[in-house]
Amino acid sequence: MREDKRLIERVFQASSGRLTAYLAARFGDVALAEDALSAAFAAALRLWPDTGVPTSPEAWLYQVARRAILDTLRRRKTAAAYAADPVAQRPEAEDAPGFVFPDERLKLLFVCAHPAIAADLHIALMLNTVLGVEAHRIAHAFVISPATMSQRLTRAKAKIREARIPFVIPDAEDMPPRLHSVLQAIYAGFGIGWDEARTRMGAEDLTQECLLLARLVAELMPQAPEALGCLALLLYSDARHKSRTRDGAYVPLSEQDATLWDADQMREAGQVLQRAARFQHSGPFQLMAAIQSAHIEARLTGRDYSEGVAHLYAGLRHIAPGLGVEVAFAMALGNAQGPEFGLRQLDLIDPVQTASYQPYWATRADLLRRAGRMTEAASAYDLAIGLSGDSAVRQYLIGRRAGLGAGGAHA
Amino acid sequence: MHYMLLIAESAEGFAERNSENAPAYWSGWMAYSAAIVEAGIFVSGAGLAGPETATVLRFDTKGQRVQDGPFIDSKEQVGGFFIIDVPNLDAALDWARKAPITRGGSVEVRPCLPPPPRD
Repeated sequence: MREDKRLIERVFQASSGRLTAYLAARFGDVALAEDALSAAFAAALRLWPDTGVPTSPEAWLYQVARRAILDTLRRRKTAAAYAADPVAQRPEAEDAPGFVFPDERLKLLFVCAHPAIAADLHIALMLNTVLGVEAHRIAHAFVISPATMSQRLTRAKAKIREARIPFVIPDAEDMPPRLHSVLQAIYAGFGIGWDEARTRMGAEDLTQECLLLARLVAELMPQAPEALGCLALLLYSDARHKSRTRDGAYVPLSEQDATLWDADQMREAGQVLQRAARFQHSGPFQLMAAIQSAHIEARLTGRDYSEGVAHLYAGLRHIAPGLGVEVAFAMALGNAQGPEFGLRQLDLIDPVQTASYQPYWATRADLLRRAGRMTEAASAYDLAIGLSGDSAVRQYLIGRRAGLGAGGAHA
Repeated sequence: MHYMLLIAESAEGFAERNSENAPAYWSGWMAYSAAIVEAGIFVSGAGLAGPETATVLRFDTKGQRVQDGPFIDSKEQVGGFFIIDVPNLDAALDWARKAPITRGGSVEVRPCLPPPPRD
């Protein structure tokens, strides 16, 4: 009996993402698909222990869920004068024996990251609808109340239905920005998981789930170099996961214990990035992955790739400008040509933007320290420490500040 | 599916209507309307006179009051609307993107509720 339950749950886990996507795309309604699928799953748990698992469990679940949806739509139609017509029944290819579901998960991902949905909700929607991660767990990682998260998800799903956001693969013209928002959401989710991993139980799973999504997109879009670039980037980052902190303090890549790095995962990352490079169509995710790759190579071989890294950042600045990239580029210049060059580059950034931007002050402090300007470095460290929201980073910076010696001690 | 494209323009946009640019301004909107009609998606629509001509009837606890001016004070004011019949939000957004707004503004795209049943 318990065996059955476990088997049934495995079936459900394996097929729920695809079934949700297929039903949602078919009826243009994510919430409706999810509710019907839960009902179908409950029915399976009730019936299958007696009848045995059907030969095609997915088809069984689909049929039960579809019937539930059509019932709901009929009820809505009679209950509310303003309800939309139930989707017209077409001759069902799905009823034919041996019918194989088209995989509509990619369409669902594009709906979740549609510009009509608030950007900060993209990853939450993807995790919830495609991977079936419950709202309360997502809320936990995002540090908001479960009630708020579930309300936001419900509203977004209602908007998908009411505004009729179409379940389609964007055409060639729209594809680059639309794919970028899918990947950006996955990358942001991964970052949240990473930042919170040290302090919050369960948030570490978020990185793994985002990695799953990145794998899924790369698998569904093997011809999209940026999708591959995003996967490579996440693999590189995840491979270094264990070495990022020591005794609760952040450890920069240059000081990480490379023996803790996951060699298999880094090898996979390298292969994925090479596959992306064959398309000869660069993009921000490929560049960020290449930067990671160069840093890691430098550590492992002892060779100096700092010129190459600065060059990659120059490329990234060009195609994906932003404050974060500007600061990272200055650091890369500082590494390649000397701290004074990095500082000069930092000085070019608009001070209004940098006043309360922590990475700017942390970078500035480090470059000043390396330039031997200890007094200035000390006050930059003070600002960077004050602006740090992350206790591990704060602890690392406090250590650096203390290591400045007499020059900075009295600043 | 019917969507409303609610067109809002900045004060500079409204000023175009009576400037030396007025011919260009109006021909932009004429061309836009014509394209919507030609595509067979036009349900209804109108350009509106400027916000300074608006009169608001306010309903609150004090009852009803007639007031001067547009109902909200903002940088952008409604300048017109279209109701179009297209299959989905992406198609509606494609049309919204083509609006000849040159001096700042926005187009709010909202699905219309389906009409109540006839009987």
